[in-house]
Amino acid sequence: MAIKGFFASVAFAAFFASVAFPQDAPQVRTGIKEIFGESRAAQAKLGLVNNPSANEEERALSDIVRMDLELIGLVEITELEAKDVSNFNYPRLEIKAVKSKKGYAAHVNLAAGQETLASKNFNAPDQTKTRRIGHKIAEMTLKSLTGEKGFFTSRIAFTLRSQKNKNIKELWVADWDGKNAAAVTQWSTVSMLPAFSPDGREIAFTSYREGNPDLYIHDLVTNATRLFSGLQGLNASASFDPLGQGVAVTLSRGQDPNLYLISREGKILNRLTSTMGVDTAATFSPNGQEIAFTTDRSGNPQIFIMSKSGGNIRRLTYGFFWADGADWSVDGSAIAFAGKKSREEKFQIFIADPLGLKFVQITTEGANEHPAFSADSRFLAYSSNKNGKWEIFIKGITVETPEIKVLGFERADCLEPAWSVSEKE
Amino acid sequence: MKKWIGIFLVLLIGCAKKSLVKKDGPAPDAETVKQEDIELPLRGKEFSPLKELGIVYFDLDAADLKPEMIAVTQKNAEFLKTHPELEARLDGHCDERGTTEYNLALGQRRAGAIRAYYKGLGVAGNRMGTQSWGEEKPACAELTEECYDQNRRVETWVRTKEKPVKDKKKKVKTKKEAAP
Repeated sequence: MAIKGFFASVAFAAFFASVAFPQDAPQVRTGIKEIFGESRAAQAKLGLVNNPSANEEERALSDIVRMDLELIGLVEITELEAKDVSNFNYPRLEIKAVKSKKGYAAHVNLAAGQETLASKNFNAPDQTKTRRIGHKIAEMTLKSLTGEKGFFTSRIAFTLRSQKNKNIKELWVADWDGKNAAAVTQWSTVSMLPAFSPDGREIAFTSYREGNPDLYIHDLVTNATRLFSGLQGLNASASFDPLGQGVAVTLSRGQDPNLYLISREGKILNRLTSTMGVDTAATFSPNGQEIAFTTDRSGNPQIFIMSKSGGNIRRLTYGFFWADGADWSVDGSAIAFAGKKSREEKFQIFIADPLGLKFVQITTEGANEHPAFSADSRFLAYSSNKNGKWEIFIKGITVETPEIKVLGFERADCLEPAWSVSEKE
Repeated sequence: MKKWIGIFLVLLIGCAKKSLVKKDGPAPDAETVKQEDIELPLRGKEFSPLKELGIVYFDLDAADLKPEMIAVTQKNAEFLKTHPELEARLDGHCDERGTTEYNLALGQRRAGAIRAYYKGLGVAGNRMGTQSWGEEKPACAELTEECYDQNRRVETWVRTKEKPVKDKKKKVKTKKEAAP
């Protein structure tokens, strides 16, 4: 547990050091070592107590917890029979579900020997909440064992395009594992490019609902959607400042598309770029101090990084014919993007450290676009057409995992994933 | 001789006027735009294509006018100039080889480039608005080079300008429009 925390702080410290002293490369390498694919053994052991007479809810919750924890690969799970509990030397998780007047109540206990590590009750008014509670139990357990929370209560926003009418794209939201998918818009026009607010509550996106590509914000709690930036011309590609109130967006305003910082009410606070050509697809660094973006100022589109106020511009991607659509990891240690090395190639997902010293290719099959990091920076979501239509996959970076398809529909394309942080406890 | 002096005078006045305008004009950094340069607002308006208005095609990841596209662009501008009753929406499109996000910005750049070109040929800026569709509305759906060539384009769509009407009439009209 302590070792894990130590690694995390080294990674974080190294990132900030890299900003202050860009020449100090070795320190940066220490920080990105972990995220750049060195597979690691499980960090903790857990006994999952098996009750042969478990009820339906208990079995369902156990299954979700096991799926979550096995996916992230930080916990080695042992199935425990009741008689083995006293001989088991590692933490054990016990889930009990008791029917109540309104649905059921889940009692969760994580203990080691006689000591309770974590304990919580969850009330489920009905069974539709079972998946969410299972994910919450997995996050509670992982946090208690490793200090990390995972991303199991997070959501993926994406756009859905019917193959019957390709001129319509609607905004959808689902749990990270693709369950509980539901439409946010039913506007019968093109709605696209969702981006989550730092707390995961709001989604900014572009829609042609009123005959102009405008930016909207949808509140997942109140279900209200409001127009947020509706200037004549392009309003697109939002990235929320993770610490401040501003949102970086692409506006055209009668000129070439450039990057601006605007308030949540759509007021222009600062113009960040003033170039001929395209500047777009901004993504904030997690400390809110820098912005990575796509620009064609050096020829084909490449990813550049600038300060929050538009200064200190440097190029990140070299050796690519085209590099585009960056997403900065939540821990700051990596930037994911879609890139190709020649005109004929298809886009693949790459990650780079923020100094551009090392590039790692994540995908190989089909065309892959629009990477988005999980809240714990260990996984990427992206859209891929390797099965003949566009579907959304996730793949681990720090642990070798196969690609997992989380969203795919018959006769429809799933595109442009954005990935939220976890729900507040 | 008189003729020459005349031309000289015209040139001189022309120059003087130019420098005056420069001095009195807005500072280059200021983002104030002249009224006639402001883009036509497109919100809530319906535009249609016309066979007289040709499509302008582009190279991959380019927004500059190809030499072979100059003729059609000039013809379009001429048509707009001789039909002052029309206002135009310039739709920028891309093939699907860029990413969705970049293409949305690239389509905007293409639409803006054609608007600037029309303006240079004498079409008032405030008769034209730009709109990017990125790769969302391909003209051709197949994944071939020929299809991609058809998709990288700017289309000029038009509508008849609303006639300036008295306030009373206008109010009635908006009510009617809102009714269904």
